Amino acid sequence: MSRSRYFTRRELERNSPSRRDGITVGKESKLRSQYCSHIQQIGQKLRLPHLTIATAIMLCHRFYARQSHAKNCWHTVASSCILLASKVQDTPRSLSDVVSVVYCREIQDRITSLMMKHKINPHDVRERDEFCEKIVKILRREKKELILAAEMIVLKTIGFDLDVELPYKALVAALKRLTTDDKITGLLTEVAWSLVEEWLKTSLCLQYKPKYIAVGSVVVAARVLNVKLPAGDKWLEELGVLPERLDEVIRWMQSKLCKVKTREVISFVSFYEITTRPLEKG
Amino acid sequence: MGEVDSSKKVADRYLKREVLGEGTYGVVYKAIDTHTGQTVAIKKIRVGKQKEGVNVTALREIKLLKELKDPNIIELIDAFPHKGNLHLVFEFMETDLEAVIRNHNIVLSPADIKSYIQMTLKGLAFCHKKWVLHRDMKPNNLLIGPNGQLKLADFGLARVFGSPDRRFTHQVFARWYRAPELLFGTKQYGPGVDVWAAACIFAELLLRQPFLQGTSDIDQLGKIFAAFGTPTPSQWPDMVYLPDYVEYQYAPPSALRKRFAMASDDAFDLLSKMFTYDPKARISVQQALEHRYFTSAPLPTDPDKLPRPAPKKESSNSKASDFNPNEGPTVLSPPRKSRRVMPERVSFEGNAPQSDKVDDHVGDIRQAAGESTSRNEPVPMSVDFSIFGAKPPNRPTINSADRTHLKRKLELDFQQPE
Repeated sequence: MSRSRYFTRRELERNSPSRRDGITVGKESKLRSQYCSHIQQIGQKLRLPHLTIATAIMLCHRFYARQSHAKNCWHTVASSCILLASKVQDTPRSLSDVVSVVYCREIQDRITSLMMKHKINPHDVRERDEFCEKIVKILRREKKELILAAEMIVLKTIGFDLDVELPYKALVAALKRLTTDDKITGLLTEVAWSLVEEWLKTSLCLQYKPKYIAVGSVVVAARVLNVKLPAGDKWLEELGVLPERLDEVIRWMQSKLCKVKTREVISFVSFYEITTRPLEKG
Repeated sequence: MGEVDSSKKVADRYLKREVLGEGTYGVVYKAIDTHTGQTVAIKKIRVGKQKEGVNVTALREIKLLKELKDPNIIELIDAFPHKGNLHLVFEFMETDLEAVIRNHNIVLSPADIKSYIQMTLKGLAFCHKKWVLHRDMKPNNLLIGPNGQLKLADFGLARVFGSPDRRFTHQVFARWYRAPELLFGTKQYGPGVDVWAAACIFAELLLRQPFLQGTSDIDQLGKIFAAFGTPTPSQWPDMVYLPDYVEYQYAPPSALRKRFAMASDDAFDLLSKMFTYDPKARISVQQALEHRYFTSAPLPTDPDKLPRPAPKKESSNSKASDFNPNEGPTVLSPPRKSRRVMPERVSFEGNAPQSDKVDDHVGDIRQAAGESTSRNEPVPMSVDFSIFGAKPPNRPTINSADRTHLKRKLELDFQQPE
């Protein structure tokens, strides 16, 4: 039950369960971003608060750190993570709501194809409605069972570790510690915040505690915006962050940033005309 | 109970024993952890029948208990799904505070009361430190372990607090333990609600019966006002803005000091501070623990010396003692105790005389216990009831009124199986 919540980079990149099934690092990150955007989309449709969506993403990350993509369809797992997160964060959504939002297209398509197969006349309203009603019931029940089965597997896989720490609190603490100037704070906050959002969709949050991600994002944002950070390590100490580990995190972040160049960051950075600034270690 | 296959294994690790009780969302049974030899209590939660998947209450409890590791909070040892049910494994607890309070053969000295309420507040302080509201504080959720440690249990209603905009339901707590702001329908409340409930438990320890026994929410407020007097706006400025606020006819405060004549001045002072109307002015748990009551004489009794109901001898089909190696930390009972199953509970006769006023010779009396007396009159000493072959006690009436209201009653109430 007391499995570690964090993994080393090596564990995630070389020895992940998906790797054993022949899924490459690149393929896994692609799948990762797919389930993240799925969770975000569904979460928004269900009007779930941001924290719940972030929790669902974290639960899904935890699942795939221990299970293979080859054996567990991300679509189902991610959907059950949404259900689970909604319960855990006290923003419950009913199973039927989750099912109808997640599978509305699929159910519709199935009905259309079944109607063709059973030669239902789409213009006979009564016949059509009766048929649809019956099929929808069956399909929904099927999907509900699927999600519930996945819920159990997720719980078992993550060892019932439902306590998800998110970097937002640490981010606020770090920003408060750094600046008092409102103008700079606003800008720094927005860039750091969008960075944190980006990291949420990566394996970074499986490797480091939220405070490292938060402080790392602030440092990177400050470099991008050319905001001067306090000299020395004292402020890091105050935030409870080890400088060496933080360096690791920042290096990782910058390598990703050069490659990925997330839309949000770029739009921000370009807006303030600082795109030309090299992102290499400053 | 005889039907329970005593060698049945759950998920390879736990040997199932007798059923301890049944709640609305599952059965609790005793089991032996074959890895450690520890006796545990397993709460089995039916999942298959629930349309919404795993119960929110169960998830909440698992999530919070994993964060809350403290000597005065029940330990969640394991959680696992098995045959479509969810199993939560807790450390095994012998009895609960309600059984202690209701058992009029137990004498609680001032030092004993101090010890019980201190442990309660310590557990609560840890919750509050971690920003968790318990929201279901009542004597039968305060379990007592083999070494006398009192532990908070039943976190199914608990919630994280802290963000000021969060709105909660006011339908929490068993009615008798509900703070006045909840009865007036507030949706934004804080740790003060747990303090009020703890105060009710404190009063109950002193009085040996529930202090404010309302029969409805309105009546509950009536009982509160009858005891402390109707609050004035200066006492509680925000009261009139509460959602369900209604004006009550003015009642003067009752002679509370007289009712709590058995309490020391320090005890009464702390009690009054915990029963402050205005939640903002109410003492916090941490402040309560720093109150001079806990440092003045008599000092709190050591947990393992606290009087507890005498446990009954275990029935024949159990071989629990075979699994009793020496490891296993706080939870493992000494061999002598491990053969006992459940403490006897004496049914609570409504108007049991408050004769158990305690004195300083309590220790001596306790030693002399077990010597005699008929079962029907409350004896001011601790008697091993098992020798009388006492019948399983009636359920205390405390929950029946709240059961429907709360829609559920979490287990671990250690009901004696028939």
